[in-house]
Amino acid sequence: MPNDKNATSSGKTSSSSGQAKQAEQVLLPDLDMNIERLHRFLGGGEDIVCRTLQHRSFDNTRYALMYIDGIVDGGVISTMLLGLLDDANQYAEMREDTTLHRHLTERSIAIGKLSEIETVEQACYAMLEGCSILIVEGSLRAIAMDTTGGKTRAVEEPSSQTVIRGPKEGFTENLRTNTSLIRKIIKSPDLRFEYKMIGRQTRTNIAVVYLEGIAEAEVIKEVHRRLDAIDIDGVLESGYIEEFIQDRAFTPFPLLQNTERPDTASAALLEGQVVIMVSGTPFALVAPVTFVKFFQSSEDYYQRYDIATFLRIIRMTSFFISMLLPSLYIAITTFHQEMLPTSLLISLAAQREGIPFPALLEAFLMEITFEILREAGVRMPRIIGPAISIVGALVLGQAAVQAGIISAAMVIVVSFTAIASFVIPAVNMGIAARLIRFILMILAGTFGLFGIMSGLMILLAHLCGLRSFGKPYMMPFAPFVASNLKDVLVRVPWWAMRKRPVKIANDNNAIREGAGQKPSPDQEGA
Amino acid sequence: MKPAISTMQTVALVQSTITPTIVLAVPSVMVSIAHHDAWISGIIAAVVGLVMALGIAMIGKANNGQLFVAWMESLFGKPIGLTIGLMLGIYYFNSFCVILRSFANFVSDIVLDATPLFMLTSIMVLVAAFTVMQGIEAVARSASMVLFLIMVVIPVSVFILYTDIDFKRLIPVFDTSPVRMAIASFPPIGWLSEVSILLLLTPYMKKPGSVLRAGLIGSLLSSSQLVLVILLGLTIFGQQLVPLMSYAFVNVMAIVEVGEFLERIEVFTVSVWFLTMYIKLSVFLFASVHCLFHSLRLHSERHTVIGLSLLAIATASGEWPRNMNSGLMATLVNMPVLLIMNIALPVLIAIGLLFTRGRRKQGGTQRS
Amino acid sequence: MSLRIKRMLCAVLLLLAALTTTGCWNRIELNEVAITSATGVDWDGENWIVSYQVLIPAAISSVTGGSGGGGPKSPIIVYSTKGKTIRDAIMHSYSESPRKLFFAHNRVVVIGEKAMQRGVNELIDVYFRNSSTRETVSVLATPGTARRVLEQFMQLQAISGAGMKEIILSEMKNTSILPNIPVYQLAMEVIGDAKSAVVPEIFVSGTEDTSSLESFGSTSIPSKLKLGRLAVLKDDKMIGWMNRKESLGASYLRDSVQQSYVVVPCEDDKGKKGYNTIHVLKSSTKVIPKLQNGQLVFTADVDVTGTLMESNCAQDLYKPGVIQSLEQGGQKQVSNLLQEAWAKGQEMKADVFGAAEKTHRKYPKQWKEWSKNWDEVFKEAALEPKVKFRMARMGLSNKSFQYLMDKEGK
Repeated sequence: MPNDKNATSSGKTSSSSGQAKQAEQVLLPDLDMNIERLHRFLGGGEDIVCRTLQHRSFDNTRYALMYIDGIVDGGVISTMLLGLLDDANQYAEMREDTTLHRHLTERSIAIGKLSEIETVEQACYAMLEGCSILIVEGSLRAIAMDTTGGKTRAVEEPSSQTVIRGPKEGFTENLRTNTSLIRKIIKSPDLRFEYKMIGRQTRTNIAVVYLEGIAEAEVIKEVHRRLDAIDIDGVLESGYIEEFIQDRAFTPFPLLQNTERPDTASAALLEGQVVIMVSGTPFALVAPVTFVKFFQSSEDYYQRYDIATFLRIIRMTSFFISMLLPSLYIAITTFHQEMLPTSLLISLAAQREGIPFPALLEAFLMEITFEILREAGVRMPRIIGPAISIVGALVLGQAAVQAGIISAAMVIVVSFTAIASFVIPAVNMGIAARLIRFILMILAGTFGLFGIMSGLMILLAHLCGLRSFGKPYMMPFAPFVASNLKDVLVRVPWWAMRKRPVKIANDNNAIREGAGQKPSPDQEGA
Repeated sequence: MKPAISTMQTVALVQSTITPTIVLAVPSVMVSIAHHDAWISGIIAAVVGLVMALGIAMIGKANNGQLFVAWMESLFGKPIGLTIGLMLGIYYFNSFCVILRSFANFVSDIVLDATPLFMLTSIMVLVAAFTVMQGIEAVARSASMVLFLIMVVIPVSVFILYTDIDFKRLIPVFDTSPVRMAIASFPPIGWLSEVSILLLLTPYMKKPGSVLRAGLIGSLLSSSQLVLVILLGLTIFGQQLVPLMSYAFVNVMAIVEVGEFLERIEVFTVSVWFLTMYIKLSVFLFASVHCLFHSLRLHSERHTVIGLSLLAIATASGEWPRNMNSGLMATLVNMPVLLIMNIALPVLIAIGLLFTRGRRKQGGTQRS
Repeated sequence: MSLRIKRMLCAVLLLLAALTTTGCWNRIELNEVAITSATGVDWDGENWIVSYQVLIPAAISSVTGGSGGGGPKSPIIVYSTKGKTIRDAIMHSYSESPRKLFFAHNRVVVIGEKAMQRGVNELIDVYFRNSSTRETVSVLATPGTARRVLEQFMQLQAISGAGMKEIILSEMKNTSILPNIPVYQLAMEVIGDAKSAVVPEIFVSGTEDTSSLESFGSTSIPSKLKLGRLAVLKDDKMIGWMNRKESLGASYLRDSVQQSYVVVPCEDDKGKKGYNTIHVLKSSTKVIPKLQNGQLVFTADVDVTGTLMESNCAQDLYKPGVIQSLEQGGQKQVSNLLQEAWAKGQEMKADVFGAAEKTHRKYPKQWKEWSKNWDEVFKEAALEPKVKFRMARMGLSNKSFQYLMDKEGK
């Protein structure tokens, strides 16, 4: 995406390198010189295509088309070239004041988006973006034509955030595709896309998307301020950005949400959040977020509200299970045996007969084993998947129990914990629970429930101290915002959610739907 | 950003500053003095607590957003302000240690009898220090969330204890002499006077005008929990048995038997209590750090927290070799200190306020 | 900033390391505890003998965990220790048991008669002082030694300690003759205004023991654990027994009847005698003290609702008067029960009916005088039973089978 303003502004960042300094020169009237300098700037290479043409109507003035092969759209290039050749071979009387440059811009090029370029550097960066450059002999400016293209992945169903009911489109690695997906959903003139370029080497395009008047101006300003402060050589994924712009450096909890679903991003925009899209990754960032956001799936709003509410409570419970269950098991079986019902205690005690390790070590062994299995499952080639699952399930589970190394109850606890951790819709929140689990296990093995409560208190204080772009992380609970509770643990029906989340969106423009839309039989009868 | 805590969070802070100590050992002491009329003593204490909250809030209202120590200095001049700040700082630090030790004893009595006290105090101080480092705002927010939890736990506990409750055990009412009832109301009044923490909290409030409401509701919440524990103890065990129990609320929860699976749940109740205990510790640590930091004009708040925490660990685990001594400290020796610092000092400040207001008015008229 | 964070991280890591290396103060693994399901307390004249019924989890649970097998194993094992105090005796257990005794799942504490006569104060103190013991444990008295009770196997329930608690709970729910007395309630009664308490009795019926699993090879077992009478305690010491009839009366007076039954004698038109059995569905009692001419008198307002369970009199239950006669019969039976229990209580000078508390509540001023010699006051006080007996249902048949047979005969 050639964007002159940004190209110039970010030119400053790269001016520190010696190579760039040399190239910071304006285009010369001499075409060959220009071409040669461009070649030199880009370091040559077979993929740089240069095609020289002559125009009959302008005394066979030479001009050149340059682009980098592979990142341009071949079809567009050939159509344009056809048009250029057609035009070059025709002879017509030209008005005195017309130059070839102007003629090409105004009459000849069959490309929508053009821009003027004055320096070699700009021209090179435009080419690196996927533009084609037209340089005319004797002109001090070149024309950059947007011919961005090349091989991109098609819009597919998102793999990490799946739904049963809801749109199946997912973001791709192409920023333009992603912005178009948003545009297609929100057809509002208030939708703003503001582009930035981050990364000295990668020059990654970043789009800050928000809805003017619905997003809070303070937040937008803060997003820009934090993005502008980033100075890094490369941005390959939105995770790079996330770590630079989150409010607190040391926290296991995600302070920005990520999504590869255009509908989730659009919902965030409609609630006054800001979406940051990064070129080269299907994962867009959403800010500011609160803790509860990570337990909401876009499907909650597509399914009936009663089941959505139920599922949210299930997810919250799962989060606590995946964080607490092993530590509670350790605490109760090694410190507070009195809390177990007698028959359960007897069967647990029977299982533990002959187990060599203390419960804490047993739990650690199993948890680590499971984490290894999980990592293996993610990294291994697809073909050997079944083998790993057989080894994991049979050998490590059943055989360990039969050999008397691990008690069966511990296997149940660990597997349940593992399954519960997959219920959380946001993977990064699940990771937080996974890490905290181990610390709580140590505390439980040392101080029992008192240790767990101490750990939870630290966690609570930490969570209450967190902020996401200035917004308190535990928002609807602490500070308590009653009206936001409609969409936290319960999801009230759509007609009852008249307001956007208070204190996240612009509070002056909070009403999002008309009043009194609750369906009632009287209306239908009439 | 200047921290701002809402009115509800202030209520939660006041509540969790008073409640953890007041429900712990006080009920059985009160029952042993006032027998089955102890709950009336509780109500007397509640009324006195409300009056104290009212007084403190009135003083707090006179503050126009300055931090407490700075306010004192601007009112009475630097030396007096500094002295007040230092006194309060030392008082809060001392209370922090005493409370820390009594909480560690409690934890030791109830669940972890073999764990060295040093470890218990260390982990408690660690948690409190961490919480304080998150800022008073985070403490306040945590307090409000813990308050939610308590509001859920209390009705559930009362519900599952319902079958064991026999209100006839309270009859005849007014069987004990009024003098005994009055005496019995002293221990809780001592703890309820801790509502004076509001003096430090007011400058941080979003709406300092609602400090009165916060103080009253917070104090009321605490004393109603006290009365609830006394009532539960009396109606379930009767007046003769409650003095036998060091921690009545634990014993009350210990007799729960719902079917074969829900029994012996006092550890769960105690776990929720742990959270309020941590809030209380954090508030006291915050108060002592706040007073010392601002009166001595120290440079790093973080280092003040760390220093005081280390000192507190040493004091709490080393000062009283026997648990009995610290118990004595917590109930008897500390009581006059509590009353002096929480009632006498605010009264002096109030008198000073009245005095200086007259002077300031004069000053104002002279200037104009 | 980064330096500070590094330092903090170091501190946290050190602390974590310290936790993991030394953290085992209170930890006790499940295979290090000996779960007791019942405790017995005996007094041999000089020492306390405490007996424990310890569970063997592997033998109870079907999950054997690989090893083991071969022949039936006893699910419980019983052993005793001796000491000057109860806790002293328990401490001696460490020198003979590989595992630490764990009392939180103790269901019953059985007290031998000698120990009951010696006093239960010490036991109550043990229960309230320690957080490892539970105040909800049911107290049972036994005429012999507690150890013998603990040694018996029970039918249908592998853990006889838990079984004993189940028996007393189901007995209390269905016939209400004996109350379930948890330790805390015993403590409340012992320390209460009347200083009198009751404890249900459990005994081994039969002369032989059922202490071997081989007994379960046949359809009948040589002996059984049975609930019997009611032990009466005065000032924490046992002073006597109430028989089952008296204890049912006591249950009515204590208002602890949930469901029970009454057998009412009846007579048909021809003068043939028989019995009707009435199931008491609901009962509530109010014992009200009254001052009559300076003399304390108690009225017991009993409200009983029952249903006919069995009738072998030839009666047409539709006939008016039959129901009334049934109700009157029931009323008389219950009144008798009350009087008998009251008389027995007075005889033993033990106010186990909670009369003292009620008097205290109603006459707080006079109570100060009476409390000095409550036993004498109680002994003089008369009881006026006022029983309201109401038949709610007659069951599914409205004529007795005997009545139909007699009619056929004609």
